[in-house]
Order: sequence, then structure tokens, then C-alpha cells
Amino acid sequence: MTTRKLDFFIIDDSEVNNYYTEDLLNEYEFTNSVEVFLNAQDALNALLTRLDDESKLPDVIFLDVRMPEMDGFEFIDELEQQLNDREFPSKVFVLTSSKHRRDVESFEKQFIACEFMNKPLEKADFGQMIEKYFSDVN
Amino acid sequence: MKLMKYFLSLIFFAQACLSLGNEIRITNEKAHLIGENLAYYVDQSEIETATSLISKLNQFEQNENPVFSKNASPGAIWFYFSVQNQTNEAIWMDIGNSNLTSIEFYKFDQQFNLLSQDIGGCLEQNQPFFNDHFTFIHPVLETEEKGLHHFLIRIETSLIFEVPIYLGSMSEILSNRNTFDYVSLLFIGAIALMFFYNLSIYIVVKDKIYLYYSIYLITVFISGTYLNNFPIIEILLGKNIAHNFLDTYLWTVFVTIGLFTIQYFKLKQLDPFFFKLIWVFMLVFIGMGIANIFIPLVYIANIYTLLSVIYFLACLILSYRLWIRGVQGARLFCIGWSFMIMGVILYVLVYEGYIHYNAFTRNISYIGSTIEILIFSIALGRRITNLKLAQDKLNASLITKNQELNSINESLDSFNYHVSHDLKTVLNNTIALTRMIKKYNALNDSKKVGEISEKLEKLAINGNETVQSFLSIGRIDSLLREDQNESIDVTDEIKKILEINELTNTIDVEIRKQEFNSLRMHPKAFESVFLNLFTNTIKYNTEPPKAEIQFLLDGKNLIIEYRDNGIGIDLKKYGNELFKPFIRAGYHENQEGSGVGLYLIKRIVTSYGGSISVESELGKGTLFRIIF
Repeated sequence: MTTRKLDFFIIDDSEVNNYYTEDLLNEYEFTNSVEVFLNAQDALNALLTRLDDESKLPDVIFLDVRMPEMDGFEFIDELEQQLNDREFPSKVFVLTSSKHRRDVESFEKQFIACEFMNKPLEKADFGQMIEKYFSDVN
Repeated sequence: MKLMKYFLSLIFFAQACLSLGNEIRITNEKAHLIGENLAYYVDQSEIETATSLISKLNQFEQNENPVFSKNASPGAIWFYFSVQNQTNEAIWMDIGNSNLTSIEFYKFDQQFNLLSQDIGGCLEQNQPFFNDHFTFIHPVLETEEKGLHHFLIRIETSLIFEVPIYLGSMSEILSNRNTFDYVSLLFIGAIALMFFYNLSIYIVVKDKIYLYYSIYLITVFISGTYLNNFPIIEILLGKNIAHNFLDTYLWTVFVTIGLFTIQYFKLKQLDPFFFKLIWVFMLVFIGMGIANIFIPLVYIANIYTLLSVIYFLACLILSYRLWIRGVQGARLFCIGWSFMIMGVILYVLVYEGYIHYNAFTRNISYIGSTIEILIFSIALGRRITNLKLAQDKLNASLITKNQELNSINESLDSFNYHVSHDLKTVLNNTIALTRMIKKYNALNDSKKVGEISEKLEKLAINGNETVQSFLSIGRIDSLLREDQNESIDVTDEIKKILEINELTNTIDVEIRKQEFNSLRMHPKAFESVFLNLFTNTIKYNTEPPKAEIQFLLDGKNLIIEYRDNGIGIDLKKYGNELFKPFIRAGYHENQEGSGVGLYLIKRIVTSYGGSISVESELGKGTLFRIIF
């Protein structure tokens, strides 16, 4: 039986957290690839390049909020602008260490990210998320 | 003044007898003021009659002044003069004082046969001729009465006042009277206008001072009209009360001006002695007002006048004291008050004969009062302007305070946000790594466990730094207290900072130029500035960290320039944000800054009255310029 495999992006300036998340994702068989970006701008560039030459976008993007230079919500704003009504099939999950009011407000104002999740990523949460958005995967 | 007058009277007694009976020859139609031609007789017990006095003409005294004046005293005063008409007109007389309660007029021929008599004065109900203006205008000689005629006039008054007697043709007498009336109306009218001005201010701003001043003005207006032949007060109180109980209502003038002065200077706090003195005077005036109900005015009037002069002089002297103390508004008060008192003094000089008596000098005290009132109204007007200015200032400072509070709130909010985020990151990462250790431990992968433990240790060290930097924000306020400033030897201090923090081998610091060596600052604040600069240079660098410092003098300004060889800052992107707390401009090899360092530097520098600016380009290092 061939099951669907998923490609992941992790965008977070915290090396430790990336180390953990990548390790966690690699436990699952459906994980095809994990790409880590320490810098939101680099990740954005990578996504835009793929959009332009219509190559495969990641299925899941884990996005940190607080990062220097470009933070998570700035990344989303920038992406929204650059998309210009193009379809964006990747699912974006915002990962944060604190659900501060200010971040919740920013989350509610945008349309790209679909979940707001706690750091570090819990296996249980991750499992539910996969079930909800990727029912063809197990 | 009184003593001197009696003294002079004695000296001139002999001469008075000789000149007695000086005839007045009226040779033209002009209004003649006949004061110097008057002989007078004081009939204290009021026993004399016109006929009894004819035989006592040698007992009359000669008046020396153009206008006869006398203190308030009981009894009657008789005047004697003789007139010869050498014109082709009838001769008339005007006794122009509204305060004479009774005027009796007797006309004799050359042989002292009584030809006619009349009565008038403000308390008389049936006054002769033209008396609607409250003065005694009466025919003296017909055109055909060419011979010498003798006249006796008996007056009574309860006040200290002058008795101006004019002789002339009817038209001249009337035009002279009009001049007096118009001049007094002009000034009394000005007082009335100022009353409405201050009353409307009171209605608008509801400051009691304007109410006091308005009441003062209306009482001055009422007494002014009363003493100037337009006795409005009579309409309100009737003739009897208006004249006999003058002091029963006149106290309002002194009390309202007293309350005004207290309020104007806030005397209770500013000058307690002055404050008490005014209250004593106010109570005395009220007391005398009550006394006037039981004691006839004539026995009170002199002391009342004397007290009011002392009261006004005391107010003047005390307000001069406040002026010298530099109290706001005292200057205008003194100038206004001086005009008022100057008017009173000039008025005394007028009826003592030192200044020519005419319509203007007769009203000189009202001119003084009017100037005083105009100046006080300016002062009160300024008060509104000052109140308005003070209010504007207060509003402006409220707005600033509000903005400050907002920005404090914002920065507290921001502080809360960043601190909680950064601390949680440390803890969450600890959880993440611990979970991994558990997992790989279970898998017996000791190599992996070792690797994770390394990361865990690094994380803890990083976390410690983060906590330290947050704590340094809390500590900063204690570094900004002026009383702990010291004169710092900058080169020594920088060496010390490098040694204490074990940075001597980590960063190469060179002092390139030194135009000053000492700086007044809290040593810890100085350390905080340089330690943060050094740390940034070390953290955000791809080469061996190097810093060049210059201490420059530019006029009075001390300039510190700090240049490093770090990775630089993208100023186009961060510009103004750079010095705000929790802005992390640099990103380099996972060097996590907390965004506190530059914020701390800026706070320290600005709290010492300095400013900080930055020049930088990515890859070309950074220059910080601090100017004190």
C-alpha cells in the first residue's frame, strides 16, 4: 500500500527547537523531508522560488512567531502580498512558546495559518493535526 | 491739617477784621468763585438767626481759601458777603455741594434791611429753583439792583466737605454747573462701565474676586453719584437715610475692596499680617456702620474719613512690600492704588487752596479712582489670561503625562511580552531537549544523549544570560540617581570594565583620541554603556572583535565615538526602532540577543541629558556617537 508522504518546513530561529522538532518528525514514516530555516526571509525566498517554477511546495510549514529581522506574522503578511491571489496549498501552523494576547490578535487577523500551536510540539497535538488536515496519511 | 488751619485763622484774625465786608463787584457775566471774599461764623449751638448776626458781623472770620472747607462738626456755619452788580444782567448764585443738608439764604439792602429769604439743601423737600441737580441755584440781584447788597448764608452738613459758592449771570452759572456735572458724569460713567465689565467676567468665570470687585465698583458708583449731585441712592433709600446714615451703607466699599485685596493676593498664605490687618479694618468699618445707626453721622464722619485714609495707605504700603517681594500682580495693584491715593491727596490740596478749584480738580479724586479702577480691571483681565495660560499649560502637561503613561504602558506591555516569550522559550527548549534525552536513553543511544546534553548545557547558559539582561533593566533606575554621580577617569574605567568582565583577551579596544578624560556619571551606568557596546561587538562579529574609542570635545559638548568591526546593522530596516526595547536587529550564527542592550544604553545616555546616534552599513561595522 502506497501512502502519501509529507514534506515539512520548519521556520524558527531557535536551533534547539528545530533540532527537537526535526527529530520528532523523523519518527514518522509519512515524513518525506524536513527543511529547516533559521531565518524567515530565507524560507520565504525558497517558497516563492517554488511557486514561480511551480515545483512542489511543502505540505506543512511550522512557523515560529518571535524571530529577529522578520517575525512569523511579518512572514505571513509578506507571503500574502507575494501570493497575489495564487493558490497556496501548504498548511501553515504557527508554533509559539507563549500564547500572548498580542500574538493571538495577530493570528486572528490573517488567513494563511490554520492552527496556533504550543512549543515544544507535543506528539498528541501533532497526531490530531495530521488526522484533521491529512486524513489520507497515517 | 486741622491744627494748621486753626493756627492760620488765628494769625490772620486781625487782618480778617479789617478786610471784613470786602465788597464783591460783579463787572462781567462770568461765574466767580467767591471763597476769598467770604467771612464765616461757626454757630455750634445753633442759636443765631440772620437778624441776631447782623450785629455780630465783627465776630466773623475771613476765609483764606478760594473754597471754604471744614471738617464735619455739629451746628451751623454762616457766611457773609456783599455784592454790587455792575453788569447789565441779573446775578445768580450756585452753591455746588450736594452734601449740605440745609442751606438758608438771606438778602439785605445796604442798610441791612432784610429783603428776602429762602431755604434749600438736600434734606429740604421744597427746594427753590433748579434744585433737581441737588445744588442751590438762586437769584441774587436783579439787573436794576445796582446798589451794594449784603448776604447771609447758613449751611449745615454732616461730612467733611467744601462749600464752593459761585456768582454770575444765570447762563454762566448754568454752564459752569454743566461743566461740573459732565466731568463727574464722565468718570462716574467709566466706573459704571467697569462694573458691568467685571460683573460679566464674574458671571462667565465664577471667580469670586470679580464679584467682590463688582460690588466695590457699584458702591463706589453709588457714593460717587451721591457726592456729585446725582443722588441715585436717594431713590433707593430716601433722603433721610441716604444722608444721615451714609456710613451705615458705605462700609461695603471698604469691605469689598478688602475682600478683593485678600483674594487678589491670596493674602492668608502670602502675608498673614496684612491679611489680619485688612480683617481688623473691615470689622472696624462694619462696626462704625452699625454705630451710625445710633450716633449721628456728624460725630462719626471725621474719624471714618481718617480711618479710610489710614486703611488705604496701609493697603498701599503693604502692597508695595509685596511688589518688592516680587509677587505676581502686585505691581499693577500698587500703581492703581497709588493713583487712587494720589487723587485723594490732590483733592485735599484743592480744597486747601493749593490747587485751583475747577470742575476737573473738584473731581480729581474720581479721576484717581477711575484710573485705579481701569488699572485694576487690566490686572483682573490679566488674571484671566494667566488663568487661561495656566490651564493651557496644565492641559499640555496632562497631554504629555498621558503620552508618557501610554508609552510606559506600551513598554511594560512589550516588556511583559518579550520577557515571557524569551523565558518560556528557554523553558520549552529545556522540555524539548529533556524529552529527547528520555527517548534516546530508552533507545540506549548514548552518543545522541551526549549530543543533546551538550545542547542542554548551552541552553542553560544562554537562559542565564537572558535572565541577566532582563534584570539589568530593573537595575538601571538605581544607576540614574544624580546623588551617586562621580567624576570618572574614562580610560581607567574602560580598562577596569574589560578586566572585571574578563574581556581583555576577547576584544581589542583602542582609545584613538582623547580630548577629555573625566566625566560625571554613576560608574555603574558608565560600565553598563560600555559593557553593552563591547558585548554587541563581540556577539555580532565574524572577525576578531575590535573597537576604537574617541573622546572628543566640541565646544561645551563631550562626544564619545565608538566604532567596531562587527557585522553592522541594516539601518534602512531598523532606523528608529533600533533603540527600542526588545528589538533584535542582528542575526548571526544563532546568537540570540534579547534586544535590551541598545535600549539600556539609550536610557542611560538620555537620562544624563545626552543623545546617541548610529552610523552603520551591513558588513562594514558600526559607529555609535554619544553626545553629552
